[in-house]
Amino acid sequence: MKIADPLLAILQRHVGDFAAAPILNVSRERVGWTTGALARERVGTFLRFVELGLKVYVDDLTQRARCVAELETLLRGERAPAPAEAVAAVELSIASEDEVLDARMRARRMLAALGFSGVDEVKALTVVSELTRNILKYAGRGTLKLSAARDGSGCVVGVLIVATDSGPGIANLEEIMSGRYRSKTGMGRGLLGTKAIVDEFSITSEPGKGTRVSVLKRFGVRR
Amino acid sequence: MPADFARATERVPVIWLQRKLVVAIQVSLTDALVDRLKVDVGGEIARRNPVGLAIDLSGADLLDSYLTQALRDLALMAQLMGVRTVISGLSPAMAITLVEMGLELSAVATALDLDHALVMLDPGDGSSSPRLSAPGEVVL
Repeated sequence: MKIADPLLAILQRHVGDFAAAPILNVSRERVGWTTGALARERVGTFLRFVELGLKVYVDDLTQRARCVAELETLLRGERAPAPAEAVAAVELSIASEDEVLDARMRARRMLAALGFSGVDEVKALTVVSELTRNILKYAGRGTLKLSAARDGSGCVVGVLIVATDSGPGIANLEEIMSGRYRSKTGMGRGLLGTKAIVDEFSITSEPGKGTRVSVLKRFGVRR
Repeated sequence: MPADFARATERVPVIWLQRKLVVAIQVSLTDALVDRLKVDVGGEIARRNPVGLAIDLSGADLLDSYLTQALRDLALMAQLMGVRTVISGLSPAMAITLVEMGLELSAVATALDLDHALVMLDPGDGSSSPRLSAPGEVVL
């Protein structure tokens, strides 16, 4: 195991020999991975446990994301991550709290790869959290799409987050977005809060058909 | 399934320290996790009769509308049971995000870090200091 485990080698490079083995072993145990290859649908859960372990040893969010990205590349049998791949658009199914956590983790990694940091990163993550909750709570299932937002010359300027569901829709959308209406469940607060921390926000909803929320979050100019 | 089992039994630990309850959140909070925490803290308050409740968010990655409201509810619930609450460890980025979203924890006392939170919750009569046993005395 010392020589043969490429996962361990990646972890050792990021957290050192001392912490690498415990993180790997605990994550394997929690996900129930004893022998053979890890089932594809378990990869996300496994990586989340690894990330929890990494959090103890690595303060730098970007480095944590990079480590997890390397592990994921290996586990999913893809080739080494090119920058273009790290920022490739993803479409995630949201139908359980587990998938909400997965979406947050994927978003965190993508944001780091795109160049987000600090307040902008927390804001974008918060948006992901709000929109995925709305899907789960009001529609039961839906999808979240994350992609790089580019300017006319192709430079990455931010992230596009699109949440779509085929749920019951929002009957009093106008009232909610005007701030006059406060639901018991906090739907108004979540959507208005989301609108306040992004650069572009649009929502369409048809009762009985579903809801689509699309936002653009730019990141500040980095020194 | 082990992973689902781990998720279903996952909870934020509530620690009993110097007659206070300490909740240190070191994970990405979910709705289910924070709902479970409310129940756990309520039970611990009834069982322990603490002088205060400290909730430290230094390890949390984000607070959105639902989570903020849940934490505020938790603090109000503790207050109704006669226990003061201090929330600590909000990062600057999280604080700015909350303010801009119009979400507030205004009814709740806050502190920069857990250390300050514990000092704020001290009743000042020495009752929360660790008790040292005299020879032959058994301290429970």
